[in-house]
Amino acid sequence: MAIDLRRRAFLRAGGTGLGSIALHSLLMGAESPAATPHFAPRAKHIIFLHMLGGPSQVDMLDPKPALAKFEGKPMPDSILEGKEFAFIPKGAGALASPYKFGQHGECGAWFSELTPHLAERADDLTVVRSMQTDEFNHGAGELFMHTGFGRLGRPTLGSWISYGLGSLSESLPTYVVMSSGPNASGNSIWGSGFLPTIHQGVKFRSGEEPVHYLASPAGVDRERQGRVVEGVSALNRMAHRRYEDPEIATRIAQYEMAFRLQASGPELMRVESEPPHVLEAYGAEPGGAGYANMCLLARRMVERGVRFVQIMLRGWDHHSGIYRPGALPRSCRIMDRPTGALIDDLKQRGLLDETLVIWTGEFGRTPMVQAISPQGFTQDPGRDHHRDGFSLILAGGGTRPGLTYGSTDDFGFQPVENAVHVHDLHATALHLLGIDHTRLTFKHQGRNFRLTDVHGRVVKELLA
Amino acid sequence: MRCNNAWREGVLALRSATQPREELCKGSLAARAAVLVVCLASLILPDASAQVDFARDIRPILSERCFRCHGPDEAARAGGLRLDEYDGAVEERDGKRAVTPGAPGKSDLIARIKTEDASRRMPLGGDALTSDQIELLEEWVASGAEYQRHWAYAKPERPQAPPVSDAGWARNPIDLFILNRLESAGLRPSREAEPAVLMRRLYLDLVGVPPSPEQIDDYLAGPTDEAYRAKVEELLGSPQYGEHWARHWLDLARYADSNGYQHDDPREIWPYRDWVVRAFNDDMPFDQFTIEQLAGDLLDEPSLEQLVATGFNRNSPMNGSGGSKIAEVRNAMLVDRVNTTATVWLGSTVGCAQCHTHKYDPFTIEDYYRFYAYFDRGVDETVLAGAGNTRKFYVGASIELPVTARRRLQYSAVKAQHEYLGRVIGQAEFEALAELPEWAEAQASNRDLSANARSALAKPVEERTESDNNAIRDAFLKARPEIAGPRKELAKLAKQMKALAPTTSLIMADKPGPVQSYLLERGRIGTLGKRVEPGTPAALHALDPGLPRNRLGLAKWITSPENPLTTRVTVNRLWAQVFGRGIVATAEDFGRQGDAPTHPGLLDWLAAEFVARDWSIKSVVRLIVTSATYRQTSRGSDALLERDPENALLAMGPRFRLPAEAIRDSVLAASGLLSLKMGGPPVHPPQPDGLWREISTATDPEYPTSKGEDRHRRGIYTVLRRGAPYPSFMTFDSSPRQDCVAMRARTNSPLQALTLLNDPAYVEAAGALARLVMDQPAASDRDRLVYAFRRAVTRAPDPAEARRLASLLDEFRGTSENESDAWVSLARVLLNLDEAITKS
Repeated sequence: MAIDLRRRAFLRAGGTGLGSIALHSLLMGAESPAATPHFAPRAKHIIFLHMLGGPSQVDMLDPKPALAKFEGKPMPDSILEGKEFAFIPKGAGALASPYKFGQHGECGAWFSELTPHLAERADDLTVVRSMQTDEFNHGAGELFMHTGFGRLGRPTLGSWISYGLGSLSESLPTYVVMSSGPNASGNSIWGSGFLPTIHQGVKFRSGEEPVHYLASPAGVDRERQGRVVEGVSALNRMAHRRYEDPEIATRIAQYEMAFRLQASGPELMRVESEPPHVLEAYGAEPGGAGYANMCLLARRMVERGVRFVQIMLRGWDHHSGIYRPGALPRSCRIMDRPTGALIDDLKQRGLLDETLVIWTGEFGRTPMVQAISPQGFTQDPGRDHHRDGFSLILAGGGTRPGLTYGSTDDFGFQPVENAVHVHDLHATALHLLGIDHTRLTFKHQGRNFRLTDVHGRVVKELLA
Repeated sequence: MRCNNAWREGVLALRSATQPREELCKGSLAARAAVLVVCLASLILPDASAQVDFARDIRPILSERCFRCHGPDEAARAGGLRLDEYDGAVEERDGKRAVTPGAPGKSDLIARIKTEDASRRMPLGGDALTSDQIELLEEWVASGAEYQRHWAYAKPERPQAPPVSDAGWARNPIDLFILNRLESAGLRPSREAEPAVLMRRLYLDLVGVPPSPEQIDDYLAGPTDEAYRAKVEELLGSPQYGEHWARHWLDLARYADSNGYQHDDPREIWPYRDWVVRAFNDDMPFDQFTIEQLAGDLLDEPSLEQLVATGFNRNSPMNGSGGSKIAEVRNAMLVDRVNTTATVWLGSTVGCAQCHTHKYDPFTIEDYYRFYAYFDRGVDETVLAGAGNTRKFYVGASIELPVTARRRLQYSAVKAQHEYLGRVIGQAEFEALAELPEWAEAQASNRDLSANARSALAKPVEERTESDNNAIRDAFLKARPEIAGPRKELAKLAKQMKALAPTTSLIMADKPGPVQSYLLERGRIGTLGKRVEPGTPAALHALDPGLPRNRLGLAKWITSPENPLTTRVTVNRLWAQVFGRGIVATAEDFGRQGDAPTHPGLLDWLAAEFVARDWSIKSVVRLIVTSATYRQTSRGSDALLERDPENALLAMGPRFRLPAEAIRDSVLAASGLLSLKMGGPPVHPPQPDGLWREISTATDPEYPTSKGEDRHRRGIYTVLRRGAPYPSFMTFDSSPRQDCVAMRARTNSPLQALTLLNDPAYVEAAGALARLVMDQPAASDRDRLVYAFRRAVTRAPDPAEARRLASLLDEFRGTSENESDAWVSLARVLLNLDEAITKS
C-alpha cells in the first residue's frame, strides 16, 4: 500500500536501483521485514469484531448455575483478594443469569438463548472461556486488547500485521476499520503507534466516500481527474530525471494507486451489487451503516485482498440492563445474525480457512451485580467491568472448530484452567498468519519492541 | 592499545568515583573522545578500520543480543553474569570466565555463542549470532577485550577541525568535518544548488514557507555571498521564523488543546504555544528557555511569561474517564513528565527504568523514582466532575491573562445573566416534566418531532433505551415555548460569555509542604517501595548539593556545563530539522541502543559552539545554513545513492518531503491565501463533518469551523484535539501529541495523494492560484505558466518542463468549458507536484 522511506533507503542500499526492481513489488510489501512470513501461514486475513464495552460472558457463553445459589450474596473473600473494580464495591452480591443456556452442534458447545444464530454455527466456532486482560477501564482496556499495552503510543495488532506482511491489494488499504460510533480511546486502537503511519488502520465510513477525500472535487469527472493525475506524473517524471531521487518514483506510483482507489473504494462499498439472498442473510441494506453492512463489507474486503478488517460495535457496557429487553438482549440481537451470516458466507466462498475471525470485548463483566448507580439504587441491575475472566469466540484461519477451551471457577470469576491472556491471543493470531511474535520487532526509543512485549504464548491447543 | 588500556582504567576509576582520579583521567578521556572514529555501517565504508572498535562493532552486538539478560538490570540478570562492564565480563565464575582478554579459546562467551548444542547456545531461545558477529567478538577478545565508556556520557570537548585536502571548499568549520569524512570515504561534495532552489530551501528551513517570486527576484538578479547572508539575516529576523521552529518544539512538548482519552475535554493552554513562538523569535538562550519551562514558577518573583512557560509540564495527556482511578491518572502524568524531560534534554529513554532497572543504559529503578520525585511534588490536577460522578476534569494551577477592566465588567454581567436564566429554566423544566408521560402518549404520530424522538416513541415503553428516553424528553422540552425560548437566549449568553471570558493558561505549581516520594515496585502504584528524595541519575554528571531539591534544581542540573547530553542532543535536533537526519540518527536516543554519530567531532564542535555563543539557537542555525555543506545541490546520482542511500555523509544537499503543517502552509502561500496573523486561540479550518462527534462521550462534539482569515492561518495555530486531530495533517505524519515526539516519520502513501488532489482546502488553493495567475496584467501564456510554476516550486521550469506545461494547458483548454477551469486544473497539477511539497 505504501512505502516507509527508511525501508526505501535500505532497498537502495541493497544495490537494487529503482530501474532493476519492479515498482509493483516495491509497493506490495517488499519493504516489510517479513514479507515472506517466518513460516507457512494458516491464514492471510483477520476480521476482528470488537464488542465495545465488554459483553457479559456469564449471560452469553459461560453458564454458571452456581450463581443462582449465591444470588444477592457476596463472593467468597478468597476470590476477591487483591481484585479491583471500576465502579462496584467488593461486597456486591452475585447476579445469576436470567437466560437459558443450551448445548449446540455436534461439539455440544454452550450458548445462551441470546445468540441463536451463533449457536446454530457452534461447530464452526471456537470458544475460549478463560480470557484475561490487565485493564478494567474502557480506554485502557481497548488499548490493551489491540496494542497489548494499556496506555497510548503502541501499534495495534493490525498495524503490526501490515508492517510484518504488507499488502495483498493494489487498490485497497491493508488495514481497514469500521465502527458503529465512538470508542473510549479513539483512533489509537487503529493507530500505528511508533510504527510508520502507513501501517495505521484506514477508517472506512459508510456510503460511497468511505475514505476522506476519496471523491474528486465537485465538477471534476473521472476523465478530468485522470488528466490531472497524468499531468502530475509527467512533470514528476521530469523531476525524477532532475533529482534522481527514488522518492519521486514512489510518489508517482502512489498517485496512480490513489486514482485506482478512487474507483475501487466506491465499488467496494456498493453492497447493492450483492444478490438479495446475501443481503437478506446479513440483514444488510443498500446505503445502510449498521453492523450488518459492516459484516458484509468485511467479507467483500477480504475477498478483494484487505488483510485486516476491524469492526467496532458499540452498546455492550451493561452497567444496567441485563434483564431489560432494550439493553443486553437488543445488543445481542443486533450482533447475532450478521455475525452468523459472515461465518457462513466466508465458509461458502472458501475464505474461512484463510480468514481468522476474532469476536471479543475489551474485557468481560462481573458475575456480581451492579445495582447502585450514581442516581441511587436501581431496579435495572447490570454488571461491572471484569478483567480477570471473560470469553471470546474465534473462527476459521486454522483454529480448531467446535472446541471450547479453558474454564472459569463456579462463579465465572477467573480461569481455573488454561488461562489465555490477551498477549497469548496476540501471539496466536500472529502465529496463524505465519509470524513468530518474538521475532516481529521494531526498534523505538532504544529498544526492540514487539506486540507481545516480553510475554505471549502461542496457544497450540486452539490450532486445528 | 596502550591508549585503550589507559582509557579503560580511566573508566574503571570513574566508576569507583574518587574525585582526584576522575580529574586525573579527564585528559585521556578527552583524547580518546577526539580520536574516537565512529562510523557508519560497512556499506558506506567497508574498509573503515581494520581494527575492531568497541563502540562501533562490539557494543551494538552485546547490547542487542546479550544485555537483556546480562546487562545492568540486576533483577533480570541470568547466572549472575553481566557483560556491560569489563569487571563483570572477566570475573572468574565456577572456574570459567565469560571473557579472558587475549584468549578467545578460554572465553566462555565465545564458546557459548559458537556451540552447536541448541540447548546451550546463546542467546538462549533466540537466533544464533551471525558468523560475522562471532568473528568480530573473537577478534575483540583476542585484542584484549577493551571496554569504553559510552561516548554520550562523556562531556564533549571542543575538537580541532580535522585536516582536509580541499580547504577552499569550506565556508565554515562545519564543512571541514563533513569534507574530512567525505574525503576519507573517497567522495566529493556536490556543487552549489542553483540560486532559486537554494532560496526555496532557505525559506523553508528558516520560516517554513517558500518565497514568492517577488521576494527573491532581487537575490536571483545578483546571487552574491553578501546577498545570501543578508537573506539569512532577514529570515532569522522574521516573525515567521519563530512559528516554524516552535512547531518542532511543540512536538517535543506534546502541546495539544485537549486532554486526550475518553471525553477528550478541551484545555486552554495556547498562551504556552505563543510563548514558545516568542522565545524562538527572541532567540532566548536555550538554558533560560529550559529553566523557564521546567521551573519558571520556582524562580524568584516569576513574571507572567515565566509562569506561562511552565505549561510545558502541563501538556501531559489526562485520562478523565469515569472508571479511571485518580492515583493512576496522576501517576501516568508524572511518568509522562519524567519520560518527556529525559527525552527532550537527555536524549535518554529512562522509561524502561519505570518498572525495572534499564537493561541497556545505566539507569536504575531508583534513579527513575528520584527523577519522578521532582514532579511528585506538584499540586493535584484532577477533580471529580461532581458528587457521585467519577468523570474527571483537568484542573491544577492556571493563570489568567490580563484583560481590560471594561471587558472584565462585561464578562461578569453576562455571566450573572447566564446563571440567573439557567436557574429559571431549570425550575421551569422541573415543573413541566410532570406532564411528560401524558404528552408522550399523545405524540405517537406527531411528524414535527425529531427523527430520534419519533423512532423512540414508536417503541413500546419497556424497550426504550436511555437515549430513547432522552430524545423524548428533549422533544418535549423543545415543544414548550416557555422553555424553548429562554433556552435559545441561554445559548446566546453562553456564546457571549465564551467570547468575553478571560484567557487562562495551565501552569505548574508545587505543594507548599514537604512531600515524601516512594519507589514504585515494578512501576505499580499499589506497591510502594523505599522512600526516595528528588535526585538525578547517578551515572550522569553529579548533582551540585547546593541546588534546591525541586524542579529548579533539576533544570539547573540539566543546563549545567558538566552535562554531556543536553547540548549534543539539542544541536543534533537542530541539525536533523535541516538535513532530515541527525548526526545521531536516533535523535530521541543517545543511549547504548541508539545509533552512533556519523560525525562525532562535528557534533561535539557544534555543542561547544552552542555554549560559547550563549546557547543561541539562531547562531547554530546560522552556522548551518551558511555552510557549504548546506548549500550543495540535492541532485543526486545512482552511484551516490547506492553508496550512501541515506545521504548520511552529506555528499549532496538535503532533499525530503515537508512536514504536514509546512505542506499546507506552502500551498496556502503559493496560492496567496496564507494569513500571517500571529498568535491567539487555536483556529478551526474546515475539515470533514462529524469528526469530533466520533470522540467518545465528548461534551464538545461540534467543530466550530472558523470564518474569514482564520481558515487560512499557519498550521501551528490549527486546533489540536488529541482524539481527532486535523485529518490531513495526520495523513502527512504529524503527531497526535500523545507523547513526546523527537522525530516524525516521513511516509509516502496514496492517502496523501487523495488529500492533495481532493481535499477542499487544496482545491480552494488551486482556485486561488489560478485567479492570481490569470490576473497577471498583460502577460502571455508562457509568462503565466512560468509565474504559476514558480509560485508552486520556486524555480523556473526548464525548457522541457515549459513545453509540457504549455501542452497541458492546451489539453485542459480543449476539455474545459471555460478558460478559468483550464487554469484551475493546471494549478491543481502544480500544487500536487512532488517538488511543491518537498525541500529540494
